[in-house]
Order: sequence, then structure tokens, then C-alpha cells
Amino acid sequence: MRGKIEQLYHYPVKGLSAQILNYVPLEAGRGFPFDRVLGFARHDSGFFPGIASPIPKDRFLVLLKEERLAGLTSHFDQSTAILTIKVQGRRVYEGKLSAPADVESAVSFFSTMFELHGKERPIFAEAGERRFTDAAVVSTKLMNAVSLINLASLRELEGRTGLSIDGLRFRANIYFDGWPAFRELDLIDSEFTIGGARLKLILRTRRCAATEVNPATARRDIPVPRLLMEHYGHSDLGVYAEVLSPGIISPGDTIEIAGD
Amino acid sequence: MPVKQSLELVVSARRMLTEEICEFEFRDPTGSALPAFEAGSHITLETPGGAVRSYSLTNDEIERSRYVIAVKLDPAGKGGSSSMHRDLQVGSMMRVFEPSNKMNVVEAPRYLLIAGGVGITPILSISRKLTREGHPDFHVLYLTRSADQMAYADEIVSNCTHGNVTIHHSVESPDGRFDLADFIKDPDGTNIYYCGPKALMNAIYALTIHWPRSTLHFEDFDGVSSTGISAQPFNVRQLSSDRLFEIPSDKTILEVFRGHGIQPKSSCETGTCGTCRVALVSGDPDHRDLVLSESERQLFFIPCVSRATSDEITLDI
Repeated sequence: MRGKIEQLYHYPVKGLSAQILNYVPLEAGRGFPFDRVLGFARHDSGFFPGIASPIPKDRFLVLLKEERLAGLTSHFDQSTAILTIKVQGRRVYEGKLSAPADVESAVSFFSTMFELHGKERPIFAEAGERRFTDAAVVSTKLMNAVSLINLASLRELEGRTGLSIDGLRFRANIYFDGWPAFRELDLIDSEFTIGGARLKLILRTRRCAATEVNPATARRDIPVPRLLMEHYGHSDLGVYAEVLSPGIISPGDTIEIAGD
Repeated sequence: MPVKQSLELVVSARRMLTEEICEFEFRDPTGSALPAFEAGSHITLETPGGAVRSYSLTNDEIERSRYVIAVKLDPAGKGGSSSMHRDLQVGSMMRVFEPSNKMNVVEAPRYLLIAGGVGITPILSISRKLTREGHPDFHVLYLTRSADQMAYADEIVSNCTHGNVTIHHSVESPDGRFDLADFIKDPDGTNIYYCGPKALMNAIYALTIHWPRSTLHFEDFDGVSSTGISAQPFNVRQLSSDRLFEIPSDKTILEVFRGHGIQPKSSCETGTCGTCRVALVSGDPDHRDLVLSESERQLFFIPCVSRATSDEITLDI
């Protein structure tokens, strides 16, 4: 069964914009580079620098709870550590997240936006060797998994519901096409390749209310998990995979399971 | 929960403000004072056609003898406005529910009042109040398609004596550079009050996405959540503490508990995963989840989406 990689994304800051990647070196046991390695944690998240245990996603400022995050267009430049946030094309924040004064301004930006003042001010969190993925609470393996969406599955859901559903609602690392719709959900534990890298599907991705948010309008407008449940009897769309052996992947690469 | 009182009022005056917008004035037929309202309020009434509609009050809140509304004829609508235009004459009686307000004027250093089309109605009442109270810093932005579709032009201009009004007609200046973004930038204590067609509401929502919610005030008479589910307020009694929590119509049980510093376990926030499941102890539940079976629903409850049909339910949460 052969398909093609369409797009690759990472999300340097948890909850903020997807950033397109054209060239991703995958390493065994590691997630997408610089994916969810920064975040703004709630004041009572228990986060401290160097913390070794995972923090549940609702302890961060995340789309699940705060749909307005989708109305911010952000970009984090790894080489300069500069985070830029725009609203309707106008810059509303720019700062170097390696500079404490700029970090304070970023925290103030979110503090104002979500009215989290005084002791409720969010805390800027850097994951260090870890990453702040939703699945981090399950296991280290899941923390470092890459997330995939089969575009045929998305189209099937669109067909059944009569709705246009932007794939970016699912905030995945890898979007691919060419496999039958929902086939990936039945192939957990199968190994597959993308270009020269070898991976294994490890878990179906159960969706949450973050997928209700329209990335273009920042409004909750489609009850995706409920629609999945109503049409398919489960609320899974997409899969997590672990990287078994390394390789560089790019859009256009073949995604293939041997013998299926 | 308190039920809004209804009043039998008489239409004491009507006049066309524009070709499509008709102003109606309601008074008590016995001449008694009407229940007081605050600027930004609306009344709900049953139109002659049977549809229930809400309309903002345009007159000054200090007036106790009348309610004044303006109704735009919506030819594509379900008949509420057309029945008002066609059937409500001076002398007609109307059942009117006493005023409610989602746009209360709060203390602020500066106000930006934005009206699109017939959305001028609550904005006019608010600007009357701010002028009367001598507030030093407020600006009205009034947007209509054309000058002849602009209701209350004179009243707005006479209320905004310090040049604090901007009027723009989209049809008459197609090349005219009008940019809402010139008026809405970064949060600075300004409180924005706005009312108008969906497109305007969405544009303002997008521009103020990073603004604190408490500084934004709007009336959206659709009243239905994004997932199409309407809601009534009710109470939840927490079994362990016997504390009673009020759940308003626009918040879920989990949201209210979090607001009190309690963190029930949860995950999907959409009624599909079962993580937040709690024991249902008493009361009449309004199950809205997609994860419990019928028999499970006798004993359990999903507080991220479900509500109650009784005034109170008790949960082991």
C-alpha cells in the first residue's frame, strides 16, 4: 500500500501556529524536531525547569480550552529564538524567548488575553529534553511519537458529514494521501516506511475539542469528536507512530506498508 | 430560576426611520411606569406572526414611561419583522417581557461603540447615557451600506458633540479606505460595545482576539452555541461537600468547577471519551454525551457536556 507525503508541520510552541517543514531528519525514538518544546503553562501546572514528569495538556494554554489561540498567527524562529505573533496581519508581539525581559512581555501578552493576572499569570515553559505533547502523559514513547493524518480518512469524514473540515484542525506532523480511508486505524503495530525512515504505528489518535475550532475564524464550529462518534462509533482520526530507524523525510516521499 | 415578567403594553407610536426600519414605542396602557432598564438592554416579545424576537432599547435608560425599539424588515427572514411592520399599529397590544441586558455599561477609561446597520439600537441608548453622564472619552463608529439606510443619524450626531463619531457608508465609497483595524489595535483599557450583522461581529471578534473578554460587550441574538445546543441555567450539588454551584446557560459544569479552583479529571471536553465520568446521585439529568450506554446513564454522568432538566442535580464530582 503506497501513498505520498503531502505536508509536514511542527508546532514549536504548544497551542500556537503550525509551521511548515520541507525537510525533516527523523531520529529513532524522537519526535519531530522542535515540536511542542515550548509552551505557556498555567500557574498551577506544577511545571518547573527540568521537571521529569509529563504535564497534562489542560495545564497549558491550549486550543482545547482556548479557541482564540487559533486567531493568533505566530512564528518561532529557532535560529534567533524570536517569537512573532500577529492578529489579522498586524504584529502584536515580537520578542526573543531567550531574553527574560521578552519572555515577561510574552507572558504579559497572554496574561492580558486570558485575564490571568497576579498569581494566575502563566509560566513560560521550556521542555528541555522532553516535549509538551498531549500524549506525553501516556508514556515517553508516546511523548516522542510523530502524529499522522491520512487525508483520505478526512475526506471520507467530510463526505459523510457534508462539511468542509480543514486538516489543520488536527495539528498533526505528517499529512499523507494514497492509502484507503481509515485503513491506518486497523494497522496499529505495523511497520511502515517514509522515504528511507522506518516507523511503527503505535496508537490511534483520539480527538478532543481542539478539533472543533475552525483555524480560519477561531470559532468552535464543527463538533468533530461527536461527529466521529456518531458516524463511526469511535472518536479517532489519525495515528501516532514511533520512529524505529532514522531518515530524512520530505513532502513527495512515499509512505508505504509492505505487503498490504 | 427567576422567570422574566411579561407586560401587556400598547404601541403608542410608530414611524419609519428609513425605508426598511420602523421605530415602535411601547407604553403601559394605564400610564404606569415601566420596569427600569439600563442602557444596552433588550426586550423580548412575541411578534404578531408568532415568532419570539428580541430587540434592543434605543431610548435613554432614565425614561420610565416608554420602551423604544427599531425593527428592520428582513424579507428573507421567517416573518417576525414583516409581521411587526405589517400588523403593529398605534393602539395594538403586545406582550412584552421585561428588559434583559448583556451589554451593561461598565466603568472604563474609554469606550468604543460600534454599530452596523440596525445594530445602532443599543449603541444609541449607550451613547445617550455616556453623553448625559458627561463621560470624557467615547467614540461611536456607525457603519451602514448607504446614508439613506442610516437610522437615527441626527440623534447620533447630536450625542457626539466632541467630534467623537465616525460614520461610514460602504456602498457610497467603494474605494474609500475604511479599515476597522484603524480603530481596534491593542487592549489598553478601552471597552468595546458592538452590535451589527454577522460579518461585522466576526470582523470585530477577529481583530480583538487578543483582547481580554471582560472589555468586549456585544449582543448576539442568535443565542445558540457553536454546536447548536441551547442551554438553561441549573445548579449542581457536590456530594462530598454539599456545596451548591450555579451553572449558567453559557458555561459547562466543568468550566464552573474550574472557575472555583476545582480540577475534575477531563480530556476531550466534548462528551466522547468518558474521562470526566462521575456518579449521578440525584436530580434529572440532560445527558448530552456520546459515550454512556442507556443503563450507564442511570448511574453516571458526563459533566463536560451534560446538563440538567431539574433545577438541581447532585454529582459525586
